Amino acid sequence: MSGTAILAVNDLHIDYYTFEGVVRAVRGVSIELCRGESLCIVGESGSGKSTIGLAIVRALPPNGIVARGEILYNNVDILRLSEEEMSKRIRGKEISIVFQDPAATFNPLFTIGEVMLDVIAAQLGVRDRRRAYEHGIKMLKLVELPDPERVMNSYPHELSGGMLQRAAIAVALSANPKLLIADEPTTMLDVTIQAQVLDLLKRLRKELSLSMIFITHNLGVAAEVCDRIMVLYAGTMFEEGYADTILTNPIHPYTRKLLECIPRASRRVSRLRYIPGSLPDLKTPVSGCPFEPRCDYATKICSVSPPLVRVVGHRHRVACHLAQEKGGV
Amino acid sequence: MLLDILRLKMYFPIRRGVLGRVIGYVKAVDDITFSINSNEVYSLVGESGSGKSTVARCILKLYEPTEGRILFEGRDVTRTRGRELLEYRKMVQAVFQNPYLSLNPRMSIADIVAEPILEHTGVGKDEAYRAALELLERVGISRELARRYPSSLSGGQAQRVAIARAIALKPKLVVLDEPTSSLDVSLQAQILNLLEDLYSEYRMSYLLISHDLSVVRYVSDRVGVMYLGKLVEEGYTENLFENPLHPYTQALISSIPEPDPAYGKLNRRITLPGEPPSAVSPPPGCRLNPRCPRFMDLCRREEPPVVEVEKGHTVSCWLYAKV
Amino acid sequence: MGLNEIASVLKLIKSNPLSMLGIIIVATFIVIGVASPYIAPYPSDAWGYSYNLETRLLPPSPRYPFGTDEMGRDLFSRVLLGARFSLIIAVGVVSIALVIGVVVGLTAGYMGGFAGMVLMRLTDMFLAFPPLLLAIAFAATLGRGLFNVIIALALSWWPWYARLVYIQVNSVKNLPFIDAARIIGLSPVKIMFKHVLPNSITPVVIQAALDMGSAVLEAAGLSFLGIGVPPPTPEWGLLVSQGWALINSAWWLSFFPGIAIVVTVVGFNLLADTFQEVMDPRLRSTMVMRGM
Repeated sequence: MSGTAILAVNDLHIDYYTFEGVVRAVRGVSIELCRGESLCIVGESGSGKSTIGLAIVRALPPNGIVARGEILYNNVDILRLSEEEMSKRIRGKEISIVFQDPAATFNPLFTIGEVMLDVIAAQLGVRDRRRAYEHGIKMLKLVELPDPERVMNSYPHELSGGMLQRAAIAVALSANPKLLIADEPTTMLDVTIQAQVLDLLKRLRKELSLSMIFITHNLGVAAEVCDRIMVLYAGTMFEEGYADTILTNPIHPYTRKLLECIPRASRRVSRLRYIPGSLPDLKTPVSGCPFEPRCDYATKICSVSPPLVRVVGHRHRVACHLAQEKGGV
Repeated sequence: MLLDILRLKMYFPIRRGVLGRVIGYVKAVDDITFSINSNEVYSLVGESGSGKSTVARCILKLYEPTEGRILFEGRDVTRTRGRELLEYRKMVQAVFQNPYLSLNPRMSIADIVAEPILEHTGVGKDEAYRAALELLERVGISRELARRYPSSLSGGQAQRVAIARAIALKPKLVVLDEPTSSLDVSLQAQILNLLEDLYSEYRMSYLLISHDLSVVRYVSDRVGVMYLGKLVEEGYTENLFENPLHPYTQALISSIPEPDPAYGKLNRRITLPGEPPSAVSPPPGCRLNPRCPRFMDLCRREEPPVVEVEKGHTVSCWLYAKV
Repeated sequence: MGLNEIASVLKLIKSNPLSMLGIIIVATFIVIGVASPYIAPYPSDAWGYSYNLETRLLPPSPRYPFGTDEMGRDLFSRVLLGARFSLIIAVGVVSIALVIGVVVGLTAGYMGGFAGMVLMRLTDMFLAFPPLLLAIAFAATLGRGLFNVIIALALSWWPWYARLVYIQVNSVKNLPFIDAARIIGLSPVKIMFKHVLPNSITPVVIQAALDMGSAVLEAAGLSFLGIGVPPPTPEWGLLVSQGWALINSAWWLSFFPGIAIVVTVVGFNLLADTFQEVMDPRLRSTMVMRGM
């Protein structure tokens, strides 16, 4: 592992146990995130993108089990840490998470300030209320919330979605973590508010030299905030590389198709391309490539054996049987 | 004109206390006028709280408007009831955002699509179900699925069923309220293409309600932009997207993240500070004035007039009014 | 209830011995209630107007497992036959209360407005009294008799169902598929019965079915107080009450019918707990874990 990697996920497998069967949500995903880098994990429903985020902060629901793999944070496998070590040393202080719904951060019965002071006391060990309060105000100012004193005394329902998400970011960053996981943080927001929050995240990342994993279904958002993009499908990594490469010169058929079927506001197309079929059921085991039933280029081998990850360029990896022949096209 | 909306207002009273005293109004839609031609796709865009869905619900006669008139093919249908309302319902149908919630989970797919046919045409059960199966096949749902229940369908399939139900009576207008917002990208394109095919096949009109400008640009002929209960700009799709006039429209269009690195570098983003104020006490004058980057003193005092800047392209902004 | 839910109920019952016990008790109760005239050793003792001096007040023995009463009737047969009356009362009370409750709750919930408000205030008035007290008042006014007991209990129970239906209807009536039904042009009555009711009734019916245990208990209470079923009906509450006078010399007279009541009520409650666990999403995830 290179010395600059802040996070390295190796061959991660995660299963959910449900009544209907075992859902194989993540099937051998590896991630390498360099210090100060931002990586977007892009995928549709059931791609496993959120599951990976939860696994990194060790917050999987009780029926989600890491079947295999390791998650190295600064070369320490956090899957082997005890729950106590995890909350004492890692959560909040090293790795923090922001969710799609800021309501996940804030209990409706408490004010923003009460939640913040609790987090500050727990993660930074600041027992002095005066100092904790001042730190809280500082954090709210950092996320550009107007009138931070008023926000401190507000209940979650008194704030708009955009303000609440800013407050959630402030809470996540209050113990000065090095790695921020943002799980669809702007999906519930309107576009103009989304633009504000994306700008904020970009600024914070620079100012605080944060590393970031940004989880989204929206390739446009990914293009805005990230250095690198990883495309997931059915729990499998399909393609990873620098954002520019992925967006302008994708190799995996799924990435190409996905880009083609997004309508653009910047230009009008006469007819949208689309991907036939529907998303796969993760309970049925697949022997080959999970995209094979929907792929135009599928050949015999695609239904038989899972594609291996191939390096096709500088930090550009693709998992497709056809990658070699089609590489560089 | 197929549909004319004239000075439509929808105020929701806010009640307090045991006696339900009215202490104020949410002015969800505040004096809106626009028309939809036959065989046209008209889109209303705006963010949450803009009132676009309320307009749709007024047209669908789920709400009784506070003021204003709705004309359908020239006839006033604002307060229509009984037989006449049933006739109107036959011609105006809808598709909603969440396909699972818009299909009765206790009815089979065939029952769902056959229901409007049985209700409105005098045909027998056999014929209604035959027609339902044909419709389902047309939207890409195989016969084998017709006996199933909505919960066993994927999101894209369920939305196809909702579309089949909406076109079952061959309506003249279909209101599409965020029809692809809950679908994944790879399925969204399928549904948009299906809607487009049906549109030319059935020669109907669509009123698309959406917050997604990319989708709007792809499907619509004309677009109306709403902000806080007002229609701030209206025009042909190309004109509006290539030459947005209202500062709000400009900000809205420039805020859309595009999966194109070159676009991101070229496009100068116009950000609006803050968030939309409450529709209970909207700001006086132009409703955008507290957030507008090109705000003038006049904007706070008086409501801007509607100005036609080029043919069919109107804007409600003082920047374009000759004072 | 969908197939998935039924499947999870079955899985849960299998994994939990107490649920299994509940199912067995309730099933046995129903089987005995239906088949008692054919399985009781002395079916003629059901009403038993004859007086058998030689078999009077015998303690439990292999021949008379529950002993005999002061008229020489076999108590075992009478307890078995009593299950039938308890079953009739339980089903009767719950169905009548359910019908009234559904009509009131559905109308008030979907129509709303002034009529809805009046209906729900009426419901609240009933709910303000303890149901047993109401039932006693009704039973005392109506007089003794099987049918009157059922009516009295049903009249005191329907408001609970009305409230439950009302809450369910309110959570369903604003869903998009109800809007869709309105847009299609269905009449309010059709929407209520075709779209709203089927989607709000399941928890109410389950609640009602599980309330049958309480119906058995309350009917027995009325009989015990002497305002329920008239003697010599072999109703459990009545049997307990009649044996009460002889409790010092013939303990079995009250003991066995009492046990029958307790076991039946416990059986229904065990079943109720099972269903509650299935219906409650918060308990569900623990269930998933158990199911692995």
